[in-house]
Amino acid sequence: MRRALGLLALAAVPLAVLGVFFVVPVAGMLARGFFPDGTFDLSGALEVLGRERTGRVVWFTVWTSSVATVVAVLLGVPAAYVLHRLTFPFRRLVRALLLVPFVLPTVVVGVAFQQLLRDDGLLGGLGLEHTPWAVLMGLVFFNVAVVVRTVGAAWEGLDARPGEAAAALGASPWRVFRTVTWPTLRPAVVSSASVVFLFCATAFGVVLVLGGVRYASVETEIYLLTTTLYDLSGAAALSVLQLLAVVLLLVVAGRLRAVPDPTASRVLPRPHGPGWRDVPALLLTLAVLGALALPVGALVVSSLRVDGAWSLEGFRALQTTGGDSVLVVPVTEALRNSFQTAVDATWISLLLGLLVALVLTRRSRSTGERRLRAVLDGFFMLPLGVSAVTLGFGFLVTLGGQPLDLRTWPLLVPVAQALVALPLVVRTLVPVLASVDDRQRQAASSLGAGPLRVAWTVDAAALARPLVAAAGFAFAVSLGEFGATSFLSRADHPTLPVVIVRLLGHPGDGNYQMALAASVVLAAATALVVLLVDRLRVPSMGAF
Amino acid sequence: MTARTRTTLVSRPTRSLTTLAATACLALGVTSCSLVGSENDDTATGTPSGSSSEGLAEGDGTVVLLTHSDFYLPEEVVAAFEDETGYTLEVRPNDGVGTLANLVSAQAGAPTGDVVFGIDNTFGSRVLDSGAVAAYPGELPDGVEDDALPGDDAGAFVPVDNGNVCVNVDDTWFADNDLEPPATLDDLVDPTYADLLAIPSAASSSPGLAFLLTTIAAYGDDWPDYWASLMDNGAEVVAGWSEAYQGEFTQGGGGGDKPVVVSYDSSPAFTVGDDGTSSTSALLDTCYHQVEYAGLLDSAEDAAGGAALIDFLLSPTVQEALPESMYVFPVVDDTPLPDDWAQHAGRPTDPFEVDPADIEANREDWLVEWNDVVTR
Amino acid sequence: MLRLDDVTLRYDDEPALDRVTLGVPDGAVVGVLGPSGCGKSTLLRVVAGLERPDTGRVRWDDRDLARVPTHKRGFALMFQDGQLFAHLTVAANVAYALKVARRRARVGRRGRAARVEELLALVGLEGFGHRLPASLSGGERQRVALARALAGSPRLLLLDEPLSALDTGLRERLAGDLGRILREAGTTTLVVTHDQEEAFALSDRLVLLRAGRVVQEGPAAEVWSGPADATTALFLGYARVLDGDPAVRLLRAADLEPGGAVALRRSALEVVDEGTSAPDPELLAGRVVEARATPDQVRLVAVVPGIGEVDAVAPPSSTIGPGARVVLRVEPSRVARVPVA
Repeated sequence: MRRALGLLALAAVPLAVLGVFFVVPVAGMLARGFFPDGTFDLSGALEVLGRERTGRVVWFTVWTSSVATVVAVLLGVPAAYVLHRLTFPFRRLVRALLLVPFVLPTVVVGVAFQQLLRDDGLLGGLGLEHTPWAVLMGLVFFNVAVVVRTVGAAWEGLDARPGEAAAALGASPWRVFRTVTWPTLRPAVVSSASVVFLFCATAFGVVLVLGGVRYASVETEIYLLTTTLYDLSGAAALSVLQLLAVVLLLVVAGRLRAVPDPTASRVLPRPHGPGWRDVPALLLTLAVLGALALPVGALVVSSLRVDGAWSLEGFRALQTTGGDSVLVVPVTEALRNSFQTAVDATWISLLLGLLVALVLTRRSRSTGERRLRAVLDGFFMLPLGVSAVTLGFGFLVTLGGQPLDLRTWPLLVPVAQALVALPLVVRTLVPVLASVDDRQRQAASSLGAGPLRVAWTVDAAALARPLVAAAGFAFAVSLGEFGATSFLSRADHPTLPVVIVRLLGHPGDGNYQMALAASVVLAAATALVVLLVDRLRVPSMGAF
Repeated sequence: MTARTRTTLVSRPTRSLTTLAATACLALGVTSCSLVGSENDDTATGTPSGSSSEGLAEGDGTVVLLTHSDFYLPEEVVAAFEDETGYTLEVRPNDGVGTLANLVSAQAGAPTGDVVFGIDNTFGSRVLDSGAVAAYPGELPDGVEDDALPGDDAGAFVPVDNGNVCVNVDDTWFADNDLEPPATLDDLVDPTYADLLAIPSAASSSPGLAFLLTTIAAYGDDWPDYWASLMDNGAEVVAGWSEAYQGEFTQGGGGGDKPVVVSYDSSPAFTVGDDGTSSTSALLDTCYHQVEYAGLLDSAEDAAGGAALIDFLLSPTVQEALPESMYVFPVVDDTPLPDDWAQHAGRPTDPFEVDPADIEANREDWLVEWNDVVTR
Repeated sequence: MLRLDDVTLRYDDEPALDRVTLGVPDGAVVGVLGPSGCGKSTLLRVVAGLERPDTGRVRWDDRDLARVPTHKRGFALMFQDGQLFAHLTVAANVAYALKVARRRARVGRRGRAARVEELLALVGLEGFGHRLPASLSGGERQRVALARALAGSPRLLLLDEPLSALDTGLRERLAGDLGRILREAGTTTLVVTHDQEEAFALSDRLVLLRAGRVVQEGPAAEVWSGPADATTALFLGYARVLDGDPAVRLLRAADLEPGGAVALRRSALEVVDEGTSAPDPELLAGRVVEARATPDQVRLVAVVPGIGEVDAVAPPSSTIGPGARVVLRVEPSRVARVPVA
């Protein structure tokens, strides 16, 4: 009991933040949906769930997410092998660049794909524009890095000896993979697949921008119900449906993610140079990299083309407020705002993430404690899977009232972004903290070191690099965050993605060119941060 | 400790420390360690005053404006308001018109601001019905009354600007292809113009909804048949205005391939070339009239300041700035327009309109049915 | 001195320690011996202050330690695998204990360096100070861990299976060193282990722990020669325990007073001759069913009528194989009488 209280005390700060900035807004929206006139009334919600259209929307969400997940896994696993088990020049650079799509804002990706898929684009001949296939391509583009990072981290830490033993017994390489490697990798693959599915099923911008209007997902349907039709009962019903599905998925993923003993020592194999046997995997990886590079390349090229000639006009215009002064501040200042916001979002998410990771990794003494920990673990992952629209609108509706008007709080946007980055930070720190042998702390303590000194000697030493890595990740995510920011940012303090969308929303005088150039700057800034972070070599970064 | 013994063990961390430092510098150098960098702490000087503010609640000198994310007024215009009235203006943008309307309705009686701006005549009835907007106590300048929201008998909503959603055509393209551009809604379903039209979605964009209302006003109950013909004729429906205009339209800057697009009557003013002529024009027989309103929020903390802000929105300073900053036309009579606008932004004489009460009653059914037609 | 009274601790209602009472006199080395899972590590953690007992008291010199946190107890805990701080050099690891130790044991910077060298010399690792732990062998790491544990001059040294992680040869050598170092340092020590040889090599007194309970306690030699019951005897390395008539017959052959059960070490019976009949009542006749040669002796299993299967040894030169008839003599010092429960 005493330990459970201690656990909750440590969790108090992150719980409070998540409570105020997540539970209250979401609960506020659900309450408006289920208590339409102050009394409990489920009829509106049930009516929406019974509609034929809702069935279609759910089906579209499920099938696109499933197919995108399968494709991401099929492409990601061989790429994980190549990028994490083979050595070749620029391996680290390639791994860093691979993460760029994951943190690019949807609007930018939308623009990039548009350049490719339109009739005169490089892939225009395929006629994929505004088809479900375009949506699928977008979803895979965003998420393949999740599979590569997660599976790659597991593969990198895989003990080579059982495989070698099997080979010595006469097993063919394929048989070794099937009978020895795959069972060990499966938790990582399943876990990354479930997270990718989660990202796909709650994707908003990708579906809206790449799918045109013909296709609606649960997320876009919630948006339509909330903002245009003002059918809050329906939106609440779909939100709850989504939330339940997410919780179910997290529970399943949690079960499958369980690893035998994180502190067990392993023999880490050295990566080797590519051989003939690796040719298929290498070719596939090249194809994946090419596929990821195409939209980004298209974006860069069109940012440099003005009226059929090469020009830096778009980039030069970044110091201005655009044609007809469409912007409140020059793009360069928006970039500065983005950096400032990102700094705040980073320290907030690190602080919260560190506390959460500490709570989650202390050794449990009883099954009750273990269960409590598992519940907390799932709880802190929830922001991953809840409709940004529900959350954003909930923010607007619930946080404005008395006694405390958080809408004017300068840290509102950073806090919201920190919540978006929190699951990533937690997933980066937890494996590291879990792999610290608790007896190291006990040894230090028994020698006479007080609690702070123990934390400094053991935990700080282990966490230094992963913490910096998580910081870079949170920084990059914050730089690219648009969903929550668009709901909350102040007019005179826009971030870069907000400015890009505004430029795209106004005609004339090179604004479009400027938006492309700003997108390239954003992508480059993100890539740079990720690259610096990747230099720190933390295998679990960006893995789930 | 059974891991393979490493041999180079003594000074390994140096390189990562360099990287660490570089990362830190990147973060700190750019922002000098932020706790949300610059704060606008301009405090109001002088006593707040407003022409129509007598007898209204007085707040702390800050007027809070709830609006949509496309709201923009130049810095000097905002400064003029603050100088003239002594109030400080705080702008809180909230996504699109739909979100704004729903937010304000949801907060009726307990608003988080003093004034709402940007509710248009497609969402006006909803907000009016919610009772979120209080009656405006001031006098309206000439011409403003013409755009009053039908059904708003108490005069709660004050028209501030208007504009028309019209089909735009790329004249250059039609000239190059030796084709007469379409002129009417009926032309758009003519096979001559197959595969040429891009439309923003009625479900996720404001001009898209306006164009749907255009067709409802034009064809009455037969509008679904018209849309079926549009789709059969190869119309492209995309997510929003920027996807349509900048992504699909041949003159939108994004290298699109559709020479016909649903946009605004002001759009031709943005495609004026070096020779002083516009390469595009709006089809004035296909327009839907949109009006944006400002309203004093019921139970606002600083109603006096709110009233002063609405007065200011109708003043020549704002009215003259509207075209350049928000691409809309002023409502006050005799407000001068920018040259490009005066020359190239033609105005329809008899645009389509649908009664706001009808919209409110049928929006959901229409959108569901529209969605069925376009996704068929 | 350390005293535990009636200490009980449960994990999920499974008792890990069940009313454990024991004492460690000043200057003594007490070994807690038990099979894995018997609760001996938990016992060590309770003493170190890493676990809080549900009931019972842990006292040092009559002072209750319940409210004294681990780092203020003035004990030092050394783990099976050393748990050196991988990012600190050997010298820094040892000096760490000096830096964080209770005030009494703290020394200045210069004194510290000298003390570190002195401790490294004590464990036979002079000149290793600048190395990182990962570059040491397992035995070297354990020595560093020992030096680190001793550095703060702890009131009580807690050793958790100090030699188990090492291979056989090294273990024997280090066991001797460790015993010598502990005696030289005169440190009061509590060592837990599952290995009888490690326990006997290090301890003055032994405490046998099974399923969380103390089953036997006393000077090492007494425990060794008088196991409390059959299970204890088997755990202590006795090969077989005989009961009833076979026990009576064997004790008689050993010229001991019959009564209770008897535990036999592997070498309790020696082959004195080959043949079918025992010429003397103190000798037993049997038939060999299994024989295995080792460098020191030939190990046999023989069936003795009236007793059953027993273990026996023959000189290394003997060529006895299965089926052979042998005459066996009982070595009384290698049998122990066991009270019947």
